[in-house]
Amino acid sequence: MAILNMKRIEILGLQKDRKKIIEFVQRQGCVQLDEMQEEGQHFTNLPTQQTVTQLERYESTVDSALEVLNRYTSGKGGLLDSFAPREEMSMTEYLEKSKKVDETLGKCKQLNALYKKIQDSKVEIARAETAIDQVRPWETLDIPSSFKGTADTQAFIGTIAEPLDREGVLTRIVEADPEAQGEVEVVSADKNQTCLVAICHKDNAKTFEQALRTAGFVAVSDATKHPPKVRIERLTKQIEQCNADIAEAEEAIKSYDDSRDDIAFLKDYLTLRTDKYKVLDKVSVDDSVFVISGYIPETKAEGLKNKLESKFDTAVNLSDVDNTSDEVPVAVHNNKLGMTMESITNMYAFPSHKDIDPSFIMTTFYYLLFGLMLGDAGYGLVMTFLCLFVKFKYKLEPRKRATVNYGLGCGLSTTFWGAMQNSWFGDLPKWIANGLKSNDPTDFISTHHLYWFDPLQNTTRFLLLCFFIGILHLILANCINLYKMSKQGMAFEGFFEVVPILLILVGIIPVINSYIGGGALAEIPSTKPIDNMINAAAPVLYILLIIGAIGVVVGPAIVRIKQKSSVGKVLGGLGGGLYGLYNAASGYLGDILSYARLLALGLCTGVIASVINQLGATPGGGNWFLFIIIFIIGHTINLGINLIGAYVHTNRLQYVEFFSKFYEGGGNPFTPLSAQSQSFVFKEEN
Amino acid sequence: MENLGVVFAILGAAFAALFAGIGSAKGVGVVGKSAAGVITEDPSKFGRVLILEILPGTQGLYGFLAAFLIMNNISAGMPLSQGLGLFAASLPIAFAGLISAIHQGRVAAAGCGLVAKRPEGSGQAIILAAMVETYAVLALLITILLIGRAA
Repeated sequence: MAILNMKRIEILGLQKDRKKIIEFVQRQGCVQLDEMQEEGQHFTNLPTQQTVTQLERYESTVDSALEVLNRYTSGKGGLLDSFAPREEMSMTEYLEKSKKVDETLGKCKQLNALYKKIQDSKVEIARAETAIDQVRPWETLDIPSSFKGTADTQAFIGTIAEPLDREGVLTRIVEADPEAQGEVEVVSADKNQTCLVAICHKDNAKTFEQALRTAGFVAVSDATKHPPKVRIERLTKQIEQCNADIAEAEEAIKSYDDSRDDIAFLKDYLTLRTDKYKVLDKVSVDDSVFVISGYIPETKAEGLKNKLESKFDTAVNLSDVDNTSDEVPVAVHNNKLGMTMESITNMYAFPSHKDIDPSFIMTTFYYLLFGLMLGDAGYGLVMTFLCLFVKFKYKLEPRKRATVNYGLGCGLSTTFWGAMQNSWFGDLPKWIANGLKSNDPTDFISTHHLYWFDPLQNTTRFLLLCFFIGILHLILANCINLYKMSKQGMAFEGFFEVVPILLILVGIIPVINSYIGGGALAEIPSTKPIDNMINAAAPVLYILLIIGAIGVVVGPAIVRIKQKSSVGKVLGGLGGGLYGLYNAASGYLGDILSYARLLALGLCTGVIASVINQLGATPGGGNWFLFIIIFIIGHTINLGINLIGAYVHTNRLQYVEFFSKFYEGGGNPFTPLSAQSQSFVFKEEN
Repeated sequence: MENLGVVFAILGAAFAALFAGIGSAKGVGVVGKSAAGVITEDPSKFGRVLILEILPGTQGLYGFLAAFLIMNNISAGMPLSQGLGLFAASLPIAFAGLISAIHQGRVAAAGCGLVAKRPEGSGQAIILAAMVETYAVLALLITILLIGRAA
């Protein structure tokens, strides 16, 4: 649950062991090597850029081959499959499989070639289809479109861009030139064009052609020596051939399905080698020895040193580093609960050495807030069972286990808060108890009052609960800030910065209770004692509020007096304090009000769930079949939308209201050289 | 005239669902267009942009929720003052919902652009868009509280 201390590590080894040592370090995956190694008097760097480029080219070949394979075969790739653990592989198996990589690479190239063939054929088909469309209007013409006439006649084959019949065309020609004589046959006509053949005697061909052109005639552009029908047949055959080619290529691709695992292995194999060669580039070497240096977490340092020194002829040197420097990479380690929050924290910003890793601390409130927002026991149970199913079906790896545990935490909290508010898929128990006739509260849960409160009957009290949870959340954030500042040796400054805010946060409780709550707590017996308590403590709390406000104003000035600043600066501190009071008042009020979203989103899920039940029950007047269909569809959608809503707004409360009080982030994540394989993991061997 | 109260209450429910719904439809539409653009380039980003697209949809839900709460409080022959009260209660979510959904849609659409260039920034894009929703949430809250007072 914390940020790990780092150490510097320098490994000096013999040139002959170089690749082996780097491979070993890569498999251990706990050293981040320096970007630039020093080039000293005797050491130079090995250029490996060419090899890396070549390997990356292979990698992209394999990537596209895998993509092709996935497109044409129904392989893995479902949501559940993504939780399946990677295969474990020992070093010997790895070496054994590595012998086959050239063959597999050949297969990848063949796959890509097949895919290219399919693409080419598709282009060919499209081209042929366009050509057919162009020839189609001429289909009934039984002479080639390049026909020019007989010994005594001249023929004109072409189109007029208007719908006309034979008489229409002849009229046009006569209108253009009364002298023109000839015969016209319309092959086809649609609303865009008329396809026609015109014939005249050779003697008056010029006049006739002129008249034709004036009438809007255009000769065919792609005249051919075969009749259109033959051409269409030929093109159709071409399309058939292409389709056959595509089918054949697809079959061929499918036959590579058996090699899927080999290809996946090859991908990892290439990734591993690329990473290794990228590192080799950074290694300083002379004729007989090499040096690599980098950062390693303190907890793993001794272990790696011992392993390296026992396996190879190496000298490993560990040294301390300044663990507050920004240059040192940051590694975090959390327990199982804290791990579930790491991705949420990282989405905001990766922790830096100045920060306290908030992942573990935020778990409590995160799940509480999420549960309140989704707030339906039925939905919570669905989430819980789904996560438990995945958890027990697969042996999960740490990162995926954290994701599933996160879902489980959210599910459990949602179930709890849903049960507290008597929301089980909305008001499902009530409909069932009444046989879908009505939603009168005659069910077991309602009659025995097995819940805390009904949110619709207690909106104001629910709202107060949200605000009080918000105040607790903000107090926690400020306490962490105080702890962090004292850890940095600024306890005095922290005290005057944080404690006044804490006093204000506590002191504002009676204000919220009376102004926003409006005596709602006093209305029902179960919350009356709380109201009484707040009212009794109110005088004290008001005094705390005033002390807090004064503290905010004078705090900066006191800090400056302690720093022995000049009088002007102390007075400036007072001015800053006044501004700080304004900021605290507006900022923290806004922060507290922001927790009202707990109520809004919580109500939203429950009410819409109830509306879905009502929709399902009403139209059939108690038809169970219809009810179940509407129930499944409606609740799936409602759960989906509200899951996203709860996720987004819980994160918002964490980021904007909580993190802004103490968390800076911006650290440089620890990225060790490791085996970034996707399809297998190395088994630890001795 | 004695049913005027009911008429106003119904009008309020209609307003809440109508305007917030229009806003969401516009907002989701705007993001949808951007999202489709991102997916053409990289289908694997579908999940990320889908979340962004759904964000401006919540205002419609809030309007629906408010409409439902108002409907629950309608009773035959309710006085005009109560009907007007319910009508007024619908206004915050109706109009804050309308405007905020459209603007949230624009922010989320810009977020799609962010995701296209930097997939790891999807969390930040979501948070930026969620900021706009705060005002819809506050409006819904006031609507709910006002319905409680008016009924």
